[in-house]
Amino acid sequence: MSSTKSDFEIIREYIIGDGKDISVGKAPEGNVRLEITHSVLTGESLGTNNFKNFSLDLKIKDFKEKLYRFVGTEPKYMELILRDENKVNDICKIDDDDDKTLGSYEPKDGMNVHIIDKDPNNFVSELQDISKAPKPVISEEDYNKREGTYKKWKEENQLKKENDTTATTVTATTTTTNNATDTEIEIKVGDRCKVISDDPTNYDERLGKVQYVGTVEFSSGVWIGVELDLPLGKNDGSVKGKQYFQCSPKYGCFAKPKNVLVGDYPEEEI
Amino acid sequence: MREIISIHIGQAGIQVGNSCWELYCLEHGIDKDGTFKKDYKRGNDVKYETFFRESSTKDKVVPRSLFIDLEPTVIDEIRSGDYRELFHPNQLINGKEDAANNYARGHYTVGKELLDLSLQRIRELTDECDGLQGFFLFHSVGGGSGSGFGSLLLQKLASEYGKKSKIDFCIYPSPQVSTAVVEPYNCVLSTHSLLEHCDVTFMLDNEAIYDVCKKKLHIERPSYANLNRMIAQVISSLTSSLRFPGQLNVDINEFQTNLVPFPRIHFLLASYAPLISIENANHEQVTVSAITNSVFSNDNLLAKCDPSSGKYMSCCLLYRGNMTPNEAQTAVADIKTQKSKTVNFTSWSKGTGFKCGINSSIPTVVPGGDMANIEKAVCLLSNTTSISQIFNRLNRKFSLMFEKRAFVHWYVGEGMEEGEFAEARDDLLALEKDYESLAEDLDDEQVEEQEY
Repeated sequence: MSSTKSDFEIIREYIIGDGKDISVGKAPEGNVRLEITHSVLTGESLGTNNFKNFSLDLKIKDFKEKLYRFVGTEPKYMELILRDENKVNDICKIDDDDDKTLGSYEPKDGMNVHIIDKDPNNFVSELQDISKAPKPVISEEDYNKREGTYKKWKEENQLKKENDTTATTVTATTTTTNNATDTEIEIKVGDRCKVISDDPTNYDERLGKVQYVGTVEFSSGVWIGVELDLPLGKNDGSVKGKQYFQCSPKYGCFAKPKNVLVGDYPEEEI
Repeated sequence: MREIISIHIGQAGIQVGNSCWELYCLEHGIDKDGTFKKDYKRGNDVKYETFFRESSTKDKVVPRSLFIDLEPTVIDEIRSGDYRELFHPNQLINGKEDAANNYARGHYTVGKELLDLSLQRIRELTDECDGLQGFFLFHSVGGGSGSGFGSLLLQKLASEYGKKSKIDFCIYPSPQVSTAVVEPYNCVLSTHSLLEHCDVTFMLDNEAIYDVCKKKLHIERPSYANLNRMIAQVISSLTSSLRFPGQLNVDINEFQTNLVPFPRIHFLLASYAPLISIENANHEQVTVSAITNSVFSNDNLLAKCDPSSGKYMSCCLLYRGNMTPNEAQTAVADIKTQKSKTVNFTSWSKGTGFKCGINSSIPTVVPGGDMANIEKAVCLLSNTTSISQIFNRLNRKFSLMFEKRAFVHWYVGEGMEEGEFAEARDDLLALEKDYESLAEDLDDEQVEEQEY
């Protein structure tokens, strides 16, 4: 059987027709499930998804004590309004008659009890205004005493790093010597090359031409300036105000010799 | 088999869970009673066993899940709902009285009564696994059940299943909307536990998701059902590599390795793209590049936070659908180049800054759901120092209340000691300072650029 409506229309009707929130549920026998909102705590747009079960036999006085646990407004300052499930239409005010039970107001599952806070001291309201509170901080002393902090972790790793660095220094010296030799022999201005990244997840395929070899002002050591074929670089051949070579913006890139592979990397024909 | 067990705690955890399992079933061609739909062509390499197990009679599958609440109503909705035949009755556990928005009731008084039964059921679920990979926990931290019982259970999982991953999906309070006055207490107390016992925590908040539904999906008055389905889409993307074959799959351990540089710094932001309402689906072009750009927009974030004021330590982009690895890699390269002025990318010292996962399964939406069927989607998981904005808000609200000792007697009356408040507060203040130190170090690290 084919439908005479388009898929879109069917979906549209479904969405509009079943807008009821699934969250209400059914209260156990002898109870009612109500959403609790509060004049200070809750905004009107979203609602709270804060449904609670209450016994229909509950005296209003006891009902207010329960609500106090949720919203913090003392019972004597509460004004209670029973509203429909859309939280728009007031059904009735819940009076202060302590002999009445919640059930006498005939609430239904999904209805809303809205609490209006009449506290002259604005106790709950004050607790929402964090602009009045000084920013809490942990003292440097207390932070340093703690175990498992980032700083402790870093210090421990720094110790490891320093031990490793001692060994690395010797290796680095050797490497530097090799690099100097390699640089002189293998990387020359005009060479076609490929720039690789230390980040193993960086899949950039960046080919270009060597335009600069030598020391620079922005960092130590020997750097290779490359004019890339695609705009995957960071500059126009200048870094921090100094021009080392000339190219279009984003086509220039400086990398360490170890990240530059020279060889037969032909420029793509357009 | 690398199984995952999902545990849904409290009203929010259960409702999100309901949406997730609904979506998993759709994606795997599983009917509401757990049988496979006859018209569904299931590939031999589909790994539904990660999340579903075969029932003892072999004619249907059962979710590897547990739903726990301290009161009956929300779980009864599952018992009587459309998917009532999907779940085994032993997987639905409830008490009789809720936690009344009180962490202490969830953690000590009322929650304790459900703990043994819950652990027993979890043991039964783990015994059915060949090679358990870890646990997913779903709960809010503003209410009493999710915060109190959630942290209690997590503590036990950490001691009994210490080596298994514990991935947490946390609904944090919205900045503007409070459900209960004591929300800050519940949040700080439970986050103190998450810091120690969780491996990864995804932070979500209903206000951010509400805004996504309203602004991006053009739903005039989003309901909580809409919000839960939005969360389900994100979690589906996150788990698709565990349930379907893919060219560049990322498993749970890789999340932790790439996204969590240091054990305490494990709170992640999630973002999703494309977010196209049905009215726009036929008009907007969905390219890999477009959705990658979109997913870094603040508008697509599922928690209220501004990443531009912090630094990204690492990002994991989980792509789904019809695309090639080259398309994804090109899009990432573009992001690194184009966004570098507005997005503070800094690779962690070992250069694991970006990770891509690609899974070829097409994203599915619930029939009648709020998002159109689409060919491509991406979920961004990021570790950024700006997440500390959320902790800063919580810490300030907490301190404002605690300095007055407001409502503390409600917690002490349920078996807590006041010292636990101070301990949790100090732990979260130290966490803020951890992020501060980290941001400073990342500033310094800029000096050691590998490239100019």
